[in-house]
Amino acid sequence: MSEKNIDTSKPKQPAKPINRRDFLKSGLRAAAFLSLASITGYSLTKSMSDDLVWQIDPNKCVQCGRCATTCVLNISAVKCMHIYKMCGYCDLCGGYFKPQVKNLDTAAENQLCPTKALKRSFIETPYYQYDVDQELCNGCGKCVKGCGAFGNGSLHLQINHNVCKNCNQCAISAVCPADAIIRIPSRKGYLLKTGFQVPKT
Amino acid sequence: MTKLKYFLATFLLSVIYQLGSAQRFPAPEFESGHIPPETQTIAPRGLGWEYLDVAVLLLALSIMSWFVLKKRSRKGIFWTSIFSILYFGIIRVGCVCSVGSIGNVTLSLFQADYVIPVTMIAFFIIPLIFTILFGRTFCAGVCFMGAVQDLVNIRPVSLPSWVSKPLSVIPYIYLILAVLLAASGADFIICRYDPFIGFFRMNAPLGMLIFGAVILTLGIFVGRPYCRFLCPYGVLLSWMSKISFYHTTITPASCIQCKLCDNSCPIDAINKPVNIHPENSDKGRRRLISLFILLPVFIFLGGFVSSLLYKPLSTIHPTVKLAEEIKWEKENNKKTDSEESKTFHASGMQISQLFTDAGHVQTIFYAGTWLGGSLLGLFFGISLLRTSVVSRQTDYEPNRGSCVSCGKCFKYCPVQKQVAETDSKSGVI
Amino acid sequence: MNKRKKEKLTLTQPEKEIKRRDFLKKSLQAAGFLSLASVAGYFGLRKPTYDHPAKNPYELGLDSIGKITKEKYCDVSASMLKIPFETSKALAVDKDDNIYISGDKSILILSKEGKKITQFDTDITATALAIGDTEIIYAAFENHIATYSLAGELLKRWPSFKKESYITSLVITGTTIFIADAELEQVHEYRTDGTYLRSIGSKNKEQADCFILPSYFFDVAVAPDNRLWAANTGKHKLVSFSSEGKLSTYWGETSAAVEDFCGCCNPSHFAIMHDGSFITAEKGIVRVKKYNSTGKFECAIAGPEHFEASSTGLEIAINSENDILVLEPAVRKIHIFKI
Repeated sequence: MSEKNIDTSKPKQPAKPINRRDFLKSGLRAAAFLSLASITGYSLTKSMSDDLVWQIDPNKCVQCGRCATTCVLNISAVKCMHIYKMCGYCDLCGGYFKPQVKNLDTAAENQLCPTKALKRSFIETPYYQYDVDQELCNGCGKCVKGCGAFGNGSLHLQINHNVCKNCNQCAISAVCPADAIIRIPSRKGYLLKTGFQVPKT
Repeated sequence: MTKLKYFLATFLLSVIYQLGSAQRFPAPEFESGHIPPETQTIAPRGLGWEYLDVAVLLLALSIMSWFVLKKRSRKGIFWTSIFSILYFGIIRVGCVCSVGSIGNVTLSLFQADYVIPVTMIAFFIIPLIFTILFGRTFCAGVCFMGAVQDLVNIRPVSLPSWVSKPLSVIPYIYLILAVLLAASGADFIICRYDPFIGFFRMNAPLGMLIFGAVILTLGIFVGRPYCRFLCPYGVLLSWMSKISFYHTTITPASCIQCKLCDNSCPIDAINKPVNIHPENSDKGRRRLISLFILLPVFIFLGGFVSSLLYKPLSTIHPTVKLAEEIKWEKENNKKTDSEESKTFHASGMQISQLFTDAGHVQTIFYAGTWLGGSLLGLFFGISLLRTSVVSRQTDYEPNRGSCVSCGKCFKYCPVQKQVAETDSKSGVI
Repeated sequence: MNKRKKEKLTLTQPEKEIKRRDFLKKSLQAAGFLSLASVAGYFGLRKPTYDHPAKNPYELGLDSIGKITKEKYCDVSASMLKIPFETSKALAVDKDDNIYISGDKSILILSKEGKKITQFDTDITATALAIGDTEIIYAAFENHIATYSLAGELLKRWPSFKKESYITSLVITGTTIFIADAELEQVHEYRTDGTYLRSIGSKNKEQADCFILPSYFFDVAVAPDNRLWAANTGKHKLVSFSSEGKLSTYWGETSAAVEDFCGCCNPSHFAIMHDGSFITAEKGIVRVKKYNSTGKFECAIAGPEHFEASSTGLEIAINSENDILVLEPAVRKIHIFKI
């Protein structure tokens, strides 16, 4: 390296390394802005087209009980839905009563549902209507299993969009043994056994 | 009998799917004229809350940046962080957060069919932009997790660097691991292993609650253990902060090297002035060149060591986990009786298909671990290279990368007091 | 050049230390990375154990559905006959124990051993069959009845009752024929020559003789004392009527126990043995049970494991030797139970 001329009138020499650093800094800033902008832009182009929510495919569900225990929310966002069109309105409902029920009444010891969310009401002989109180339902799937085993299968589990937080990864979907939890566009509404149904707002 | 049950369930469900005559119990015709109700489908929540979250985030970041840079008020920072805990933590129950948004963004980049909500992009990008502008004011108190750790840190103890330096490697590994696992669709480890969310949700696996309690207890003495040694978003923020336009300073005016702020930082983020001769440029240049040559070696080593782990990492992915279980069943000639195994056997899927899928996932992990490890090697090499950067620091400055702008050092600086006194004397508030 | 050599300074002590400290820090970082990698590798490379899978806290034990304990079974010997029909509907036996089956738009007549006697085509599959003493086959085709000779010759076609009628069962006693109409939910009583006598079944839902039929399963039979019995499937009761068509007695309870009936509409079919005891067949939980003449459960002839799970249409016929013939259309068989 050549000898440095200590020139007080020109203090530019020691300034060079700093300028290099500044240049690097500006370059990095530009790179950072560019990458942030491209991530935003790319993600936004997809967001404008669609909006995904979690839903359970009722034909794949095996009622393993994990919906009730794995959802990050205190009371699971998975609720039982009743497809009235498919219901037989039976006196001895496979989803309401325990398998070896003695008396067909609303006594707690006869009921399958651990939270008493499934309600039974008399319509006319011999038909009874069964309604699900979604606020009490914890998504355990016992009634679904019973209805499927000795009934028409008109009860099935589904994710309630009002409660579901729409996590980036549904904790239940990670442990679902049947891979039944999928993402569908939110405009399609709920995935019920009889097809998609958009809720009335 | 259980196998029959599974077969029955799948068979019956497929039969029952056709309405009417295929049903076991036919739909009744009510003579009393009763009309069956419609299946109750509740409309989703409005997005109002989520847009409000973004607005509050912007507001909080702006206020915090003002408190850190302009007003330099520890009190302001403190109360803003209390507000963050209340709003983002308690009212919004800790979800959504910017730290977890890494998972969403990764998924959005690597999975063609995933659509990231606009609010999530906002939660990812906005703190990064504010950090490029103003430094890590997000960490100061807008991030409710950082705010919680700040609150419990009542007896800060300085960690020796032989402890803190190796531990500070973890966030890089965590970030690379999180991106790899999220991109491959295996798991979202940032959200799953967040120690604080369990307290806000009042619901978490026991292990996570214990982990959270440990972190908070540790946080009484060690400043911000999650932020320093775990937070993956902090890695991105530290990068942005290193190149930020503005940054918080300990002194409001100029440093007088009084050393009073020496031990004031609870997270040891103050860069002290270095008192050495700049070394001989020959030796320096030689070392720099050798480090540049070693850089590809580090990259390769990093990639190589990480790729050794691709198999166990891949078992985090559910397909590979199931394939391992089925393989174990075949080898030991018995069934595991787990839900996954039962459902798989009842589904009728070919085992060969499962193994092919699992192999495909493992290939992705092989490539991912090579890439991730190389990146880690690159970071390590760069950090070594930076030792060759001559530091002409004469003042006490916060470390641009790791300072979280908490402002706890402000009160130690006598210049601050002097400035405040002159301000009040001259009537400026 | 010379100047450069002169300027080769030796590192001063504090510089050395700082360099050493720096190097130490960096190598500790590397060591940290490697140790973390090895820890991760250890945990990852351990073989998982699959011996204790997690239990479902909301497990619903379905094994007890339809389970019949050993002591509740009758002592029967079972055999079967294969039938060639894809879909079969009705079953009947005559006094010579020949077996009549309707299926695939034809009627097949088998001997007692299962040998084919004759088969003839019909327009649609007959929904009910009954054989009169005078060797006339009475076949119901949804909403009307036609009579055939044993050779398959169409003798007479009765006019239909109502267009919507759906006849599920016929029983002949002497000169009277009872026709179970599942659509109109009544049992029509006619003379075998075609004169209409009455329709049995009230419209008052509270009464036991108001037939509630959620599905097209409605069976009738005549007991040895000539009383008409009909299955009120919706109420899970078997109801008897006097010769004037008035409600006489009834029995049957609803519960999940094996002694009672469950599901929407059971017993879907029944028959009466020569001593007056009842043989009932159910759908849903597919089983065949025996009750005594007062309606008390005696034993189970065959439980769900004997049949296909989704079987329906288990028509029962009793032959002259008190053998129980049960048609199972889904598997194209006739089960024969001998007590």
